[in-house]
Amino acid sequence: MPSKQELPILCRPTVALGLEGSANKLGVGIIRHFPRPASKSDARPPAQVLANIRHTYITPPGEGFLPRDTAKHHRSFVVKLVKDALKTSGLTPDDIDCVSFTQGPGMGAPLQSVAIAARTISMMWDKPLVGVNHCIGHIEMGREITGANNPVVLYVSGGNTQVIAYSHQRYRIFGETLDIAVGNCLDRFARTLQIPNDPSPGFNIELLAKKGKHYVELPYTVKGMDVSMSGILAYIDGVANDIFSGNPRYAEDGEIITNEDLCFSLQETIFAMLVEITERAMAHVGSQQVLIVGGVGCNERLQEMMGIMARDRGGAVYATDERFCIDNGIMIAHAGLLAYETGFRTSLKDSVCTQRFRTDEVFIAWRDD
Amino acid sequence: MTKHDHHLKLTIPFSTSRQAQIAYNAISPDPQLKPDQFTQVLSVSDASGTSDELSAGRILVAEFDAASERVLRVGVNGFLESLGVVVGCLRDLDYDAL
Repeated sequence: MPSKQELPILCRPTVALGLEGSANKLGVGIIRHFPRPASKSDARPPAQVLANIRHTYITPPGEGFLPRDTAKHHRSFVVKLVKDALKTSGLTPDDIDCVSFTQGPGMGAPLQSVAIAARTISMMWDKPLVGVNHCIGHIEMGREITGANNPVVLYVSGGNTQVIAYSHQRYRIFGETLDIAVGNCLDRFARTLQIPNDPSPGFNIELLAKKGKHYVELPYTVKGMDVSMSGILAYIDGVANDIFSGNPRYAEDGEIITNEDLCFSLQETIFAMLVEITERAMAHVGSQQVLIVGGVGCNERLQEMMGIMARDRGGAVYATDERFCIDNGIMIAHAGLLAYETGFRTSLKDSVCTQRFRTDEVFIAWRDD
Repeated sequence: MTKHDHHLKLTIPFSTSRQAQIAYNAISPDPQLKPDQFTQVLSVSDASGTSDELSAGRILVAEFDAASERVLRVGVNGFLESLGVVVGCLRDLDYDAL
């Protein structure tokens, strides 16, 4: 059983380059790990972020990002970003131990464009290649930055919505969306309202929601440990289209329902659903910690609502800011380096990307609890 | 290699056999999405008409076979896009460029 083995103790610092391109963000990061102390009771020193550079493909208001155009964006910028990351870190290829890249889940064409760059760099520099599961990257980076040791993880982004807890070398999925991701629901509603995608549709919805005063009742679709988002989106899209076509809705106080009210109502409803399934997972697992990761995780209202729930349970919420929440290269470097240190390598023939790659498929060799 | 009616052969010269081999290895792993309609076979060969050591194995040869002109165009474009990433990395990120 690997869980009984001692983790190999490397006696020198290690460095990884990480490339992320599973959606519309292209990220390149360089991270350094320090050796595990000889005494097992001492914590490992925190990882050092040497570079964390991101370039986002932003589409006009009302438009989503298509795989083909996103891949083209990544191909155009990947060389420059790697160069910039090296410059920022002050390192040369000789200082790097492995080249990690996102192998999935995500959009096929963007993933593949970045994988080609990762393979080329790995061969040019003669460094091993390490394929990383994107979700594992988010979880491990969240744990590293916040210090949450064994949290229930809420992973919420444009492509994923999962409640996760660790047990026996796997991050196990306790609940998830049955249809579209929570971020996808927000992004698509932003398109309906023609809200700008710069810096991100979710951030602009969050700003509008702060000005919302009236709550519009929306479907509340928690199904056991799972949630469903598509019905809510269809419903609120319908309300918005009614308003656009000259049929205003009125709140109880007689005021007209605004876009701000709709953004507020959408956030309140879907975040309440996320808090409910997260709380249920905490009760199952007996954990006091919640770690929120993924792009939607930097929404301060979600963090606030989760914090209220966690405090009621005598626990706390752990979250990171946009540098680590929104897709980035450093989390891929970090998770890749953790795997590399346990001896994991990805051969060229196994380096093909996969759009579907579930969080619980990855064997977590680097945790021994 | 001649399953279909539409073919194209590209020969891409690199400065060294190492570069040609890296391009071959970087592009080869990805499977074609519609193998029944489009196939792509890559190989590395020597520069034609020369036999000196410098020219050995520095040509990347790509042979395409497609069910229609449209499939051929889309497939070859995909290959060239991938090749562009490889060439960009070799040009700007190899040891001698940094």
